[in-house]
Amino acid sequence: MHKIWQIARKDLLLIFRDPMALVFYLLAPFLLTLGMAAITGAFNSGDSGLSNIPLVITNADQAQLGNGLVDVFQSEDLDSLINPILDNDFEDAKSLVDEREAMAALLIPAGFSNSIIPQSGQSPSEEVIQLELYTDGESTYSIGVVRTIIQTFLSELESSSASYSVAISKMLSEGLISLEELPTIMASLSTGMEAGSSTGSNYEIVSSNKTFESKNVSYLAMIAPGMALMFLMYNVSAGGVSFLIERRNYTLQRNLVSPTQNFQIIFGKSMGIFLRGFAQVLILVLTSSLLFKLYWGKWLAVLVLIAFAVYGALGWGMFLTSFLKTPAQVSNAGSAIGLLFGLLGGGFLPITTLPEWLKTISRISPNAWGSQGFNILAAGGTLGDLKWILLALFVMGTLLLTIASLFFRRNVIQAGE
Amino acid sequence: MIAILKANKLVRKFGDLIAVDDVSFEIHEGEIFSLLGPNGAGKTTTISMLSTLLTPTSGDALINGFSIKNDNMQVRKYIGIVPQEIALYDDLTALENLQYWGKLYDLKGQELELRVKEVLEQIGLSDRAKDRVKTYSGGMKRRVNIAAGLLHKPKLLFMDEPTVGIDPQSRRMILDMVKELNQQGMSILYTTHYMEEAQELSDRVGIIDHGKLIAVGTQEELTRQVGETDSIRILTDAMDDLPTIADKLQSFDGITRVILEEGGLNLITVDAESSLAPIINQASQAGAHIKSIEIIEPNLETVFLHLTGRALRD
Repeated sequence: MHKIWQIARKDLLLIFRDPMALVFYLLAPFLLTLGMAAITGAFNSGDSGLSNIPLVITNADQAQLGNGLVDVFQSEDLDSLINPILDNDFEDAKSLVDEREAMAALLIPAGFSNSIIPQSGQSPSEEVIQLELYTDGESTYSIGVVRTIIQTFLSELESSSASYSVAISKMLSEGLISLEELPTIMASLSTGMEAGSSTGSNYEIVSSNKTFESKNVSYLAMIAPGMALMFLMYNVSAGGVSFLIERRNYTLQRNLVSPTQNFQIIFGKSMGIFLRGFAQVLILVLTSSLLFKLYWGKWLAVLVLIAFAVYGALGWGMFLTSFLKTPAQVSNAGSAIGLLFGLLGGGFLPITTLPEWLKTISRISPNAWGSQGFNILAAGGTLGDLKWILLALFVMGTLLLTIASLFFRRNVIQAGE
Repeated sequence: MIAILKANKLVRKFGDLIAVDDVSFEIHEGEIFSLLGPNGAGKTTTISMLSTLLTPTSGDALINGFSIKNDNMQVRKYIGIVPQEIALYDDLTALENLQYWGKLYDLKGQELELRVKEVLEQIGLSDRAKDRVKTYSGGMKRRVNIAAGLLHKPKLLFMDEPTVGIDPQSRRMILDMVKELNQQGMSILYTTHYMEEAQELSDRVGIIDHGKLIAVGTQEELTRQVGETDSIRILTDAMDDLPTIADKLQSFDGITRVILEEGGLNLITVDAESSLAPIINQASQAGAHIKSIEIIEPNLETVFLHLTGRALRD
């Protein structure tokens, strides 16, 4: 372990001795991410996650429509998009948002159903019913999704009430209701419909936010993980180049004839690349978090995810190095793969905008898994929610490193002469 | 004599190319053994195999009793290597380079610091130790390159053409250092294509060409193989007529061989002094304008010439 660390330390020292490399590895990703966000002029228009949006629902209505809205959020169709949590106390629900456990809390007030479908023997409420949406003030993109779902649900209700008259005529013609019952039914329906037509509806969504010092980094949040992972791929492929450069400069051969095992040299250099990649992503995360209040998720989970993403990317970097002969070849291939994986992994556009087949292909890249992980964490997910992503990155890294190590001796070490 | 290295029928192939072909030799404890041969003769490949960097295609070598094929980690503890190329990290200082290489040879703490200090003094670079290697001259880099191979006090030091491309002053310093290390008891395998270096340093010499070790012995033993012959080197401007002149000189009594060289002829003769006058006469009659003439007593170059028909520099 001592020698592995010495080799890694030497590689890090060499990076710190080369100011241009330092800028490229550590600062360029951050600066370019900021540049991208600035160019798009969209600092205010999005958020970081479009999956598993944690939404706390307080259903005080406990009647058909309130339950129906809860069912919508719990439906299979929204399974991957919304992570609904039921809480009977809206104050509790809001505190979850304050503590960043959830992005939004929705209150379905008592009487919501009655305001639209009067119960028998009751007159419909004329009071405007407020569905209250309490949000974290940051995740505007995700909240927009929640708001759209609620509005769609309410629109469906409106169109249903417009078709009441058609339904009643049909029920009369088929003898399902009698003429004697008709005045009562029409009276109750017309009251509700008049209320709806005079105001557009007798329900509305009222939003309130938790207040934050700054809220203007949302688009940055959306692209930052993808950018970070794209540069990580460049970084690790450049790390692979360092193997070949050392071979060209004969320092690799000198390492290999010292009483140091080949695996110690490979692990040591890999550790150097790993630490460099980790530092690169961490700098982006820290600076964006400190300067722009960008929320990446719980720190422990973020650090673990960075480590696994770097491991997956390291696998690709070493895989390329073990097959290619010259630094130029690795650089070119690394750039091409970095760009491709960047595209597939959300470096330029959110992964959610990609067609399904491309999303499937993107799974070969650590970028896609990493981006998904960062989105989950930014949406309030925990380490437990990342288990499959971490497993995928671990398997990817291990598989590629194993293949690389099999070819490494033949292609890198013995080819050194 | 105890052999610290025994190479036995070493072969290394790169595809169809046989870089080292059935090479066997021994190095005795405390001796300087030189592998003398032109560029591409197989010297570096031989050292690469002996230092465990390359696996032999066939054959083996024992270093201090350990096989280079089966006990390579043991072998590496006993050997030091000074590669032909400057194998240093340019962006690290000499001190950092030496500390790094020392740690790879399991040196730690005070022992490491002491050894680094000693070798820096030995190579005369203590005052520049904290400067980055990239700021050094070629000769200074060469010296640090050597120092890195000495840190762990190896029993056997491989030096692969350590004086290539450096100034005469640094070259002299390196040659003196090699002698000093040897006097301290270190065995040395020294490869070179400079006949003068091999002659100055070596207890024994192996002559290698086209991957084959064609002769091994002390300088006296090798020159004896050539016989009591001198060589006469003639430089002339009659370039077009050289083959004709060479044919005529070949028939002279006492001349055993005539070799065409760049700008002149090399004549192998039993008695240079008595052959000299007729040779000059013949060359003049043939219209050659002799620019210089030199009588060379048997040496390693003559041996190489005798064995291969080519000069070392060809």
